[in-house]
Amino acid sequence: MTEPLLEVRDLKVYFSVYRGFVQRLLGGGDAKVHAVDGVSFSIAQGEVFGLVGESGCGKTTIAKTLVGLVRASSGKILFRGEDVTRPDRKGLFRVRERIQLIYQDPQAALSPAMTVGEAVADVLRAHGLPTDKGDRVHAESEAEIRAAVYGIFDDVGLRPPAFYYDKYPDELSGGQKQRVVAGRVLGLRPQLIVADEPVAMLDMSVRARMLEFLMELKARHHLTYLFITHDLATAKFVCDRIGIMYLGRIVEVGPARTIYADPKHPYTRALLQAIPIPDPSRRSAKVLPKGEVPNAVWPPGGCRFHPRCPSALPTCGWEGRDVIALLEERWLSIELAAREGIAGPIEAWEADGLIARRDMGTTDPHAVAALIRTIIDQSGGPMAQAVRDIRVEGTTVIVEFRAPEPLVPKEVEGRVVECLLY
Amino acid sequence: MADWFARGRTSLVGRLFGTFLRQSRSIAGVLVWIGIAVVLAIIVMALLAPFLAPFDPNTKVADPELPPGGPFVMGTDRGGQDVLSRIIWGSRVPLAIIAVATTISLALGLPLGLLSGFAGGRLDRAILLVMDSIYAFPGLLLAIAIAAVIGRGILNVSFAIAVVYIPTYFRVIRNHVASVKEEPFVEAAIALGLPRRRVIGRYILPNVAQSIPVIFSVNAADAVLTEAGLAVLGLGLPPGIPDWGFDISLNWQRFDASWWATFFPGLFILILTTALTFVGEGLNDILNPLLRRRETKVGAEA
Repeated sequence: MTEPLLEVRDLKVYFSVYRGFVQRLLGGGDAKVHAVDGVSFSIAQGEVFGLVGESGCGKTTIAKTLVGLVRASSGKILFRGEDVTRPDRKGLFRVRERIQLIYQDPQAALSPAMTVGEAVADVLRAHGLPTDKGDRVHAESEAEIRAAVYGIFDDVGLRPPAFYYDKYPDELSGGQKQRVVAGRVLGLRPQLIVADEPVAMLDMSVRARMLEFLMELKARHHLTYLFITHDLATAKFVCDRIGIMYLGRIVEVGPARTIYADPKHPYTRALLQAIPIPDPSRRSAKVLPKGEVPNAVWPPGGCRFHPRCPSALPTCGWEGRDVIALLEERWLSIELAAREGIAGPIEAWEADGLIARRDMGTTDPHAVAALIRTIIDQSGGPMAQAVRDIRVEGTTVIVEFRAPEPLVPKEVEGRVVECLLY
Repeated sequence: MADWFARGRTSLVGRLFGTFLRQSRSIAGVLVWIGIAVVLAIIVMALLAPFLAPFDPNTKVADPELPPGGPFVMGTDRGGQDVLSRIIWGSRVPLAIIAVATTISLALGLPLGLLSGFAGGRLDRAILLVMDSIYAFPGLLLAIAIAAVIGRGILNVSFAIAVVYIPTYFRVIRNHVASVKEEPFVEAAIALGLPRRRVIGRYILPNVAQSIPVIFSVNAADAVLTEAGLAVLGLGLPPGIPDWGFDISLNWQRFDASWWATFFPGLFILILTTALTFVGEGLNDILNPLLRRRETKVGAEA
């Protein structure tokens, strides 16, 4: 295999959560959002690679890291084998000529106080005009720049270019604005285009046309795309390979056709089932993930999907806070909360890694331990089997889980999956 | 560079002016037109003072404290000078001070606001601290202190007033920049590799510029009052230059005997500040998109 155009190795991007001075004094250490937490993938020249996931899973952070808007905390980004993880000022300028971003909302990506012609011209003034030999020369005159912008407008289908040059963004339609944004990026002659939800803000009626347009550009300019979307149906239409992201990690990556035909990771399956099928007579049994996406400041241990996973195993990473979540959900029923009142309130429980504990004070801890055991057994499922021990130490009730099995990405039927089922 | 500047300016001014013209028939637009008309009239009066004033403002032309009537439309003051002539000549002072003071505070407040808002972090906090400490002083008090130190004269008074208003420009621009900076188009400009100066000048400035005319007219109104205040306290201009505020300070103790010598300068201060406030408030309604949005909502419900 030839050298990939872009290779990302174990990329991690953490954002510190600002905490006040007093809060830091009170302890708890520094909180960090684990936006991207160990992602690796590579994109070959000419390929369309899709990153798919719910909002908040870190896909946009990856896009921003690639163009240097966000600093990687660790890991490596290689572009044609050259390390572009933490470029200096000059390096960054060069990186941005080769990797470019197309934004989700073309309206927001264009300054409302600048004509669209100027928006494109400005980029050419800063970077120079690309020549056929692959280098750039600074424009001799404004007329030359204007002519170059006309060329770009013509290329992206804004014809006649002179008509569009002096328009403000509010005077164009969404599709036309997206063409301007694409044109502005193409003026740099990039090799890799990161398209962050490029059609999500467009009307349904122009989406397909816009996707076709992006593919036309790809063919004409020999581009490579990193296509970011939350919409698996769109990804299916354009991507050669896709990576499914969940909470900062890629859970399944492989050729799009393979994954669509037979998803392996439970999360991928859930996502695929969520695509509506335009046929009222076909009703698919849907197993959707329960609950909400967990907070990325304290991502779940083990496999991040385990608390929501319909096919979780006892070894998936069950830990103290899963018990607390179970109790919390259970006590939403007033009747149950009253009957099991001696174990509450929920705020008195604390989780520490594999352990959940509650200091009972004067109440009999053994009675509570027995109650918790019953509750966990009743809940059935893999969590019950993951419990190592429910015990009493002094006045404290402790629930302890077994350590999870290490999670390593595995090659399964033509794709890589990160799941203990395989 | 020259044509870069020209292009940015024309499109910017043109856009602001266009927004204003489109709404010039609304209530706010009428306010602005009234304000502009009054201010223009006063400017014309100041420019044509030598031709309009019936008497020399600094010579005794009649008995002191003649009531309005006859050749002296607004009477004479305690020095026997014609009040109307002094008012016509005296309009030059507030206008000159508005022009100089607002230019100085804009020239310092705007770049500092852009820098502080865009840079953020420690630099931002340091500049904010200085500006907030200036802002914390009551405006007139600060102007008095500065004027007392640097002395009288149009430039000195303008400078004293300018210092008071630098934080107003700074604050408004800085906060506006800090919010515009978060817009995707600014991030996009950075991602496209545009140099920082260009991002500030071409992408941020045009999108915060609508605040400038508003602060300008509100500050101008305030500057007139501050100048008059300084003059009343004897910290304004050297004697001999006709000035509304100075005339009030000369005559107010004789208000019972000759109210007209105090009343008419005061009336003109009121007229000029009201006109400038009309312009400021009207422009604020038109150019400030948040207010505008609220207006349309109310309209939709009605």
